[in-house]
Amino acid sequence: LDEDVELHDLEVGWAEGFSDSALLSAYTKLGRGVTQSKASHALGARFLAHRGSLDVSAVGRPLPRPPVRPVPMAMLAGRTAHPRRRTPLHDWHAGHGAAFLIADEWERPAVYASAGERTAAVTREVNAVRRKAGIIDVGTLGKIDVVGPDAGLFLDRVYTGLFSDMAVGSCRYALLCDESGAVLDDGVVARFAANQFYLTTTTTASSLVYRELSRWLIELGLDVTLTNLTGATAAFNLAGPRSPEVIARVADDPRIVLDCPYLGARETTIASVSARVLRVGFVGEIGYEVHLPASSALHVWSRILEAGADAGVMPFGVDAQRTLRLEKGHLIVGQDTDALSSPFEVGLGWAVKMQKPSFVSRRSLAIRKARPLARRLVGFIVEGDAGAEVRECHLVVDGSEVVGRVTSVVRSPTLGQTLGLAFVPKAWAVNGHSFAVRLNRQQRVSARVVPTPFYDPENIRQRGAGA
Amino acid sequence: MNVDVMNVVRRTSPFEPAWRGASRTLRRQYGVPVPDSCGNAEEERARLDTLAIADVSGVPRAVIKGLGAGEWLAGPGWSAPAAFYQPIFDGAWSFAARTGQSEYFVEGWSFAETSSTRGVSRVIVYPREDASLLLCGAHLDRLISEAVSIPIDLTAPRLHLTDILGVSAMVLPRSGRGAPRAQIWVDPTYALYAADALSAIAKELGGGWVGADALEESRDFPEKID
Repeated sequence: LDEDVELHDLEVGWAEGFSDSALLSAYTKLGRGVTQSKASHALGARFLAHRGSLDVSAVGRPLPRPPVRPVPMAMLAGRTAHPRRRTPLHDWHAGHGAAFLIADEWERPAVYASAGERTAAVTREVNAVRRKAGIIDVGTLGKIDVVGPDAGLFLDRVYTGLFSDMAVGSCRYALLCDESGAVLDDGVVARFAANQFYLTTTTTASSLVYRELSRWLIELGLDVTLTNLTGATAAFNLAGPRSPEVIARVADDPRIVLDCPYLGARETTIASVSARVLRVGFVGEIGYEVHLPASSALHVWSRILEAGADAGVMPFGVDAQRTLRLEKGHLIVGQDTDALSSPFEVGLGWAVKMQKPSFVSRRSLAIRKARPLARRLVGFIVEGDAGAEVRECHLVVDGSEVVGRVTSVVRSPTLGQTLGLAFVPKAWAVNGHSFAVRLNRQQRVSARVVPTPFYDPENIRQRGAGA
Repeated sequence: MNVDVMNVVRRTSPFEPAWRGASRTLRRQYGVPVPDSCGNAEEERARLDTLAIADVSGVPRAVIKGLGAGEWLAGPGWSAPAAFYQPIFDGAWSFAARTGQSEYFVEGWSFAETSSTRGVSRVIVYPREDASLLLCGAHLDRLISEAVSIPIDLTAPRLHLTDILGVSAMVLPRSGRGAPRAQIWVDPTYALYAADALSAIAKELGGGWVGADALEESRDFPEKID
């Protein structure tokens, strides 16, 4: 619509209650681009009129203001660069009906669907993972090798957890907080040798984390070499109760992967390609995260799908992944956290090892831990039949006062309920507590706090004991 | 990766979707399929004169890093480069360049080792998966000036760490007879973006993709890249 303001941004603004043209402009920066609102405010007015069932003339326009300085013609005429990142499997996804979403600079398959059947397709993909097996391209994750005699100590000093005591061949959840104690990123650390660790980051924070690690390495002066392998390394997650038999068919030595326990990590060969295999379970089923050279990604991906055809393996996209992880109660940093979130408010206090003598966020986290929490991230289910109308960013209200917000919500195909995560006042973080969520147009629905995980609370399926 | 495995595993170039429609036959460049041609011979010869783009992603390359990397890399009668970003060539295609205090970028050599194996315990070899293009032609300077964020002297074979149309990249002018030429490397996840952007500029300048046949037949590219 105007520089990088997209229709989706307006929809988010509308969902958050910015229903006035001036407020929507202030929230989205619509009209602040090179056209200085000549075209974009007309489009914004049409958007508001459509959403509010109003006549365009009734919407009004923000008060126009002159630009601070003239726009150079060169800015309008020059070649624009909008870099896009694609995994080595992008062409395969496109050829198999993927609808893509944009995550930072990445294009990721959201769902493999024919026109008009998106919801049904997501359900189909979720069911495949829960009942048989599914495979998702997670090559967008950040991937960093941390090598050297001080590698374990370095991770201990930067992340909140303890890594120097990890056994070779194991994985551990890793939480990164900034100096103020706010959650910055999370991922998994695997140890492949005494002096060699491999860590993953979230898709959108990979560059940030690599930059922060590089900065802290200089500050701490430790003997460590960092190598960013994000682009050079492809990754897939094969998950579901039939995933062990499928991975065994393509592994050059099936015993290595089949004997790998939950939270184990192995270096082996899959379909003749050197690979790292991590037994992690973001989607809540037994699964194998396979990391391998980007140029061999299509070869291995294709072999897995061929080998798993009779087991019902199918590709799944980010929409299904988000549903699966939410059923499992796993949060996404940046979606279920914000710039101020501490680990203690979002249920990640267990990942903070305050017994460590020193780490980047320790001082701030000690202060935060000593203070009473104002809010908590809780699991909830929507009561009644209004679940389908609840959206992320809808507000949690107490009368006319805004006291929280929904961070994630989905209609669960597995559990047949609308469930999600929301920030609520600390006093409300009690199982069974009912609260109101305000929808667009001031409608309200009732939701109830419930414990997480919603699905498989004993983690039996994720660990593989029930497979 | 050994030769047997290279024959079994179907490796792919990150640029393959960009040239697939233009190529009828393929050959393997270090095990990676690349197009024999991307048009008729006359068109390709014209592109070589004006502005040609060729996929050389299959050439093996690696980064060698860690204390002692220079010693690790040195061979009989051959020393690792001491000056930063000044490549030392070994034959027509292979070269090594120092890119950090204890870090070297090497191209054209295969390394069976993925960890220290030459008695220097702190050295790590990471095979690189870059998307790489060879560019040549009379209009190369115009493409470089439009796409690369720093001025580059195409007569000086120096490795430049810069960006191309907003993406981190390396650029190396390559010496040779005839038209100027340069090689670029970008992260493979940006390959299609870079291919689209560079192809568009090349097309405006009268150039385009060429295949391996054209490179071999050109007097500017006597070396066979495989």
